[in-house]
Amino acid sequence: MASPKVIVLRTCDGETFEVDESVVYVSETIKNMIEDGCGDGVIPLPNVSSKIFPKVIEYCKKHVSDFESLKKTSNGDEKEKDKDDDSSKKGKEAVPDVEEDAEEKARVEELKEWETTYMDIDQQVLFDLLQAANYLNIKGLLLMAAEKAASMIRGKTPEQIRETFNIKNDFTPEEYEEVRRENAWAFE
Amino acid sequence: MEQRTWPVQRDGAHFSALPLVNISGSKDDDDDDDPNRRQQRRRSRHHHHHQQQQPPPQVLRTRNSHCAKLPTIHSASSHRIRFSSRWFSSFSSTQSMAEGHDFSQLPFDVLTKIAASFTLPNLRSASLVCRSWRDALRPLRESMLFLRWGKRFKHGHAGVRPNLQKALDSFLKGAARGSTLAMVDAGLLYWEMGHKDKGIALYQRAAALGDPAAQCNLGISYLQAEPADPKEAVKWLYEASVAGHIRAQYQLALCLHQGRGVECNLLEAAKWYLRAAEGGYVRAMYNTSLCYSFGEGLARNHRQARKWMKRAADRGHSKAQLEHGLGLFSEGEMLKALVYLELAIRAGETSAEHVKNVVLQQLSASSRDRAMSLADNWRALPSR
Repeated sequence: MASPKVIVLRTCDGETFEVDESVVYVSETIKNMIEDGCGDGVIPLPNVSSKIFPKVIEYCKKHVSDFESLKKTSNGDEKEKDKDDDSSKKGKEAVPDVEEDAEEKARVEELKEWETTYMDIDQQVLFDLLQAANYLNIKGLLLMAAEKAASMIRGKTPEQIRETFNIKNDFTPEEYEEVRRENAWAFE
Repeated sequence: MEQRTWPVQRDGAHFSALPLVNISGSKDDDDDDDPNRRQQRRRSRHHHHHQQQQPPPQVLRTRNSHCAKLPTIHSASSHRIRFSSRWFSSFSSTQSMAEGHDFSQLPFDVLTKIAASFTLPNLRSASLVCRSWRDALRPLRESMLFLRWGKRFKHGHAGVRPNLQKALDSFLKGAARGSTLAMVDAGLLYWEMGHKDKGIALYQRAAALGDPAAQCNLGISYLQAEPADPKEAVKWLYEASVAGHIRAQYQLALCLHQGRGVECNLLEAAKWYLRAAEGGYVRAMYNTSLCYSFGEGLARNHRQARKWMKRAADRGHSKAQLEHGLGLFSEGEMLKALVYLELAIRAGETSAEHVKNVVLQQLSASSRDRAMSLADNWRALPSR
């Protein structure tokens, strides 16, 4: 892999985007399509709008380095493990490199802050993000969005949840009662 | 939970005859762990969404023609006449749902991920939101049933004889249907039975889905494994701590205190001890008291130290009972001191005997009796 390759993608509403290959590789779906040979032409994304795509790419850009650093450290960790196996003392641990740790800690904290800002979105964007992350198979993003949705559901009554997400109650009274009774055992 | 069974409709658009929500029953198979099947289902579900959009006349911007999920009011009004038996109230002519952002149309596997770590009350509420959610969350409700059976078999509740193998089977069935609560219990049982790697594997699955208890257990597993991996442990304990898990907060504080898996940092350690203590974790209360007492990580504060030591003592921490008893003794509160010292001794802190004898000599017979009676009737305050 010599020069960084640029991939062209087209969203469902006809707009095209050019993105570095390493960035779009964060999406398992796109990665598979490229590996199947579609990387030279325009890759269609029928389930992703041009509105949400930039938001997705923002996530991918932030997490490209995750994949790269993972490749780097895995070799180092294996060496450490051998050291532990050789020692006869139970529970001997490799002494952490102090400077590396401080850097790592700062990186983790910075990432947490970035995530908080990134997920400060309204429910419409959240919906698009869930759909896009699911279709594009970006595990970390889907998990983040799912957790945000979960936090908006926990502790609420069904009516409150419907209000939060603008959902219609399509139950018949009988169906509603059936579901309610189904779980009544939990409170006996 | 206050619930109206007849929520007032904002408009009359949403009726069962409209082919809005019915995603084909893709959850009747148990092969949740087969990634190929899951992929197929996901693809077919997306395809299904497209099909739903075509029939009703679309008065939408062309931008959204592929991505919109709902028909407009026009098609809904033509169906209204059929539903005299249905309940609805007057509706405005504007759509109350944002175009293309209908959360009732979320794919089943996305909803399952969202609700994976829900406790039963939350799962219940979510299942009552709309039909699609009810259907999507059915496997998780089944998980809860298996979870309940698993707990019964493990602890022998409700007339069921304890049977660890059956408990494990139940937990695993619950885990297969997607509930992280079942995964954690299955992992714990595996760990207790000696299959530590299987336990860790389950914790990892649940931790990846964001379950704080799983993340905490995973972190602790890495600390206890041979060889231990304290760096990885701290990473997971941190995740769980940030999510509010008090035991994880305590364990994280310990790691920071001991410089295990992370650079030693008394300030951070004390911060997490205090968080866990405020959350109700008794051991953290004791350690918080010590931090205040010695000025380690927290500014020295006698009053706070006493407050937290008492709290820990009242919740049954034997060393705290000893310390608190000594503190009361030094303040001249002999009767109260005797109660706590006696509790400490009964809990195994034999070093309290000496001081107890000193106190006994300073009290009248009736006071001594009263103190013993208080100790006899003492019950620990609930803790988490």
